[in-house]
Formats: sequence, structure tokens, C-alpha cells
Amino acid sequence: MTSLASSPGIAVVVWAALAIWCGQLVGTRLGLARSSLAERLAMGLVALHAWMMLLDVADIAWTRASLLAPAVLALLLQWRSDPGGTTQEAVRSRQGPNARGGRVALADAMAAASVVAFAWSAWTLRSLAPDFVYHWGVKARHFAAQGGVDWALLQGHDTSYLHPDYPLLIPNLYVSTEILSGIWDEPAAMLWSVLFFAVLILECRRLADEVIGGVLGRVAFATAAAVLSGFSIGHLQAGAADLPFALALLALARQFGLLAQTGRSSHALARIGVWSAFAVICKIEGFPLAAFAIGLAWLRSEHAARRPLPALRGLLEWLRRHGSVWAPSALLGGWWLFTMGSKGLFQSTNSGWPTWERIRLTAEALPMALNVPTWSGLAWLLPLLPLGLLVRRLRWLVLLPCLQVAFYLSSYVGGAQSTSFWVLSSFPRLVFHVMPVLWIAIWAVVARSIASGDFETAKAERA
Amino acid sequence: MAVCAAAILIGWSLYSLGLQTRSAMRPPPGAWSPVFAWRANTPLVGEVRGFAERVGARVPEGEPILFTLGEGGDDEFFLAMWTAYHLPHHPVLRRQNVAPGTAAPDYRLDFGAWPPDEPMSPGPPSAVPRRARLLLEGLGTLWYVPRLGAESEER
Repeated sequence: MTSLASSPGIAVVVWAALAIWCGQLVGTRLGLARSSLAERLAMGLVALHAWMMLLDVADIAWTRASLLAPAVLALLLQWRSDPGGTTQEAVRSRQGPNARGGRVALADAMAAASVVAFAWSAWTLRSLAPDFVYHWGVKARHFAAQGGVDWALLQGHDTSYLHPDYPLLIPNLYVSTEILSGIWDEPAAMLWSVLFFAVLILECRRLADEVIGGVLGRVAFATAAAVLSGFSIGHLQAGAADLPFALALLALARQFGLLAQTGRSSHALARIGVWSAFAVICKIEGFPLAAFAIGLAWLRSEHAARRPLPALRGLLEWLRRHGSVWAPSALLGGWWLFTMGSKGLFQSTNSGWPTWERIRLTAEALPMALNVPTWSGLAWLLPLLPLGLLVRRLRWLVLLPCLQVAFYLSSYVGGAQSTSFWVLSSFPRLVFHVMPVLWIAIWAVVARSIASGDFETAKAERA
Repeated sequence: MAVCAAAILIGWSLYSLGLQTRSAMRPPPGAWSPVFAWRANTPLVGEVRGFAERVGARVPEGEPILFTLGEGGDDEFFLAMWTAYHLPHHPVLRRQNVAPGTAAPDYRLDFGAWPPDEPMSPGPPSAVPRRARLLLEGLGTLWYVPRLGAESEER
């Protein structure tokens, strides 16, 4: 077992730090100077992925020099334009008074324990996803050996098990780690999952503070960490792409929740653009998620403009004015779709028409999928998600997760695959994508009921 | 009512975390799968890795490796995947995968004649077939889901 101080582990830390720093630079250019750690990480990883793909298109081998070149260049430019370190000053001022010396609350300690539990299981490979070997890891090892994307591997005869149509952020992260350290090391690769998990929990904390607040908000956040950690350990999520995808879905849903509270905001639209692009390069499910998010952003703008019906002719004008919402996803996603088409990577099993037989099999398999032991029964909370649409202040928060689940279900009844196996093997993981939002939304209802109960009790006592 | 719901949610979430963490500490005996092989870091995993590395050392870099594993199927698939993972410098093919007209690769690993020309481990020879059988059963069983799925499809 490699120790934490070994070079592959350090390589992950270096890449993550560079991504966060580059994300800060990109965010400043987009007017998102006060972006969170998660947003900076997402922007940095989108930039890293885009750079690796650009190198591959230009037929330039992935090496330490070629991968690090833009970061070094940005560092030099930043030093020239900002020798006094005002960016650091901005970071310090963003942290606010609570960042230093604040007491560690019990909820934070519980959440930290959940993160540590997952980190331990990931580092010791106890929660290593089978897909790490059969899917992401095989790709990463071959890409690293090749010094670029191994298109021959992806285009090989009968390689559907490799999911050659999946976007390549996750294997690219493992490749960049191996290239920087010169060593392939599974525990170090798992640190990416630990990072994504920790950032996911931080985003849960922000959402719980915004939607619930107070002591109950902290309780909701701490229990969300426990639920997500339990499933990630039991269902072997380390090394897979579901953790960063859940992070993207949570961040997008949060932006819509904020938009509903605060009205129009160009910053929120830019953030939706960043997270949509991040989702698109994470998993193939990111394509519908990005499309839903951009569509909802447009509908939200129409709603905010008090137009009774969305005017399609206004869509082009809206797209022209808000390029930051759709351009990152369109560029990265469009290029990947073009590549899939030109290289024949799209899998025929991804498409098909709904049949009654598939609907029946899906309906039969769904209860079994919700009943997997790794959810400890918590997946049965999923039917509560659409009920959130009936709660006025949660409507925009749960709308995107609802659409995403609807897409998953439509895929099952339409995809030309073994339906029962597909549902059973994938749906528990897909529930994980929406669980952070679902859990906080449930707590929001419970907290409101408790608060109104207290109010009624106080009123009765006064009477 | 709402306070009860809150208490249930707190208890349920902590129970879930505790249960899964405890399960990760102690993989259930007998539930053999590639997942548990990774978890427990059993000698078999090391053997597969070592075997792949020895094969990789014999086969020139870039040359394809063809699997012919007797009856094929899932076992062949998972073994080929593990080898592809461990030997990134080689295209790993399966007999089923070789498209008509493709030139036959020069190197073959005949898992049909298990154990092959060299033992997988320096242990007692009698232990090899049983462990190989366990390996194949395990690699062919990706958790319990495929069986559930197959049963459901049959119904």
C-alpha cells in the first residue's frame, strides 16, 4: 500500500490546487470573482479537460510539459499583471470573518467524520467501483500508455463494455495523475473521488444553509453527509463518475433555487453554464442535464420577465445575450458528439423506442433497485421528489432533479438493452445523483413544519 | 409529528452510515466477486496482476493478446478486462471479438487448458485449479445483480 506522502497522491493534490487556482482566474474573467471552492474546482477541471482534448486533436502527446504548459503560462501572466497578489487578497476578503477561528459545530464534525469514513474506504480500495477496472481505469491506463486518447481501443470490435461514447473527464484525471507522478497507483487515483465527495458535502452545507438555515439546516447537512457517505461506501462509488455528477446536479439545482429567490442574475446564469459544461464532460447523462438546465434558465428568464407564455422567437435573442450559459457546454459537448459520430463511438443500445414489455420490466425492476441493501431503504424516499413541485419555494430547486429522473426512466423504457439488468445495475447509482437535493428538500419541509408547530404552540401559550 | 420525522431521518441516516461502514470493514465471507477481490486485496488479485505482468514481459509491446477461454462468456470477458487493465501497452482481444478477416494474433493464452504452461502461483499445485475456479466464478459474477436481472427477464 502506498503511503499518502507518495508522489501519485501529491500529483492529485497538485492538479487539484492548479485546477482551483485556474478556476479562480477563469471565474474572475467571467465576473465570478466570489465563486465557491466547488465552482473554482469545476471551472479548473473543465479547463484541464478542454486542454487535454485540444492537445489530442492537435496530435500533441500528453506529457508533463504539455499538460502543465497552460498553468505555467497563466502563472507567469498572472504574476506580471498582478505582482502584488490582489487575487490572494480577494480570496482572503471572500472568506469573511467566519473563516478564521470559528468554533467547529457538532454538525460540521459529524459531516467531517462521514467524509473521513468514505476517504478511508476509498484509500483502502474497499469502496472501489468495479467500473474503475472495467471502464474508467482501463481507458486511463491505455490513454497514459498512448500519451493521448486511444481511439483504437474505443473503436475496437465489441467494446461496448468500455462505454466508448462516455465523455473523458474521469479517465483524463487519472491519466494526468499518472503522467505527473510517473506511477499508476489506485489509492492515489481514489483521492479524486475523496475530493469530489468533500466538495459535494460542502455544497450540501451551502444549500442547507440557504434553504433551511439555523440549527435544523445544520442537522440536515450533517445527516445528508451521513446518507451520502453510507451509500458511497456500500455501493462502491470510489473511482466512478457518479460523485462528480451528483455534485454538478446539486450545484445546478441550487442555482435555480437561488434564481427563484433572487430573480434574474447574470452571475447565476454563468454558474449554470459552468456546471452544465462540467456535467457534459463527466458522463453521457450530462448531455440531457445540460439541455434541461439551459432550457430551464431560459424559461426562468421568461418567467422573471412576466411573459405569460415563453416566446420561442425570443430564444435566439436570449441565447445571443447569454452566451456564458450555453457556449461552454455547446463547445465541449458539440465536439464530443461530432467525435462520437465521426468515429462511430455511439452505441446502438443507447437508443430505441418504448415498448410495453420494457415498461413492464422497468416497473418490475424499479422496486428491487430501490430496495438494494446499500441504500438501507433510503432510496424509497425518491417518490417524494416530485411532491416538491407542489411546494412553492422548493419548486425550482427540485425541478431539474425531477426532469433528470424522468429522463432516466424514459431511457429504461426506450433503450435497446436487457431492461431488468440495466435498471438493477444502474438505478441505485442514479438515485444518488438526486439524493442530495431530495434530502435537503425533505428536511426543508420538516423544518418548516417544526417551526410552524413552535409558532402555534407559542400562540396557544400566549392565548 | 414533524419532530418525529426529524428524529427518524437522523436515526436512519446514522444507521445507514454505520451499517455500510461496518460492512466495508468486514466483507461477508463467501460472497466472492471482483469487487471483493479488490476489497480484500486477496492473493488471487495479486496472482492475476503478476500473471498479466509475466505475460506482458513475454509479449513484445504493442502486440495483441488473444484470449481463448474454453467456453467463453462472462468469465472470459472479465479476465480479458483485468488483463487489459494490467497490460495497457497491449491490445487485448477475445476470441469472440476477433472480426472475420482479422489476422490472427501471434500470441495466445489458452485458459481453456487451465492451468497453463506456468503455474499462477508458487503454491501447491493442487490449490491452483480450485483457486482458478473461484476466480472464474467470481469474475463472472458482478455482484448479484445479473442473476436477479436474468431471473426477472425469464419471468
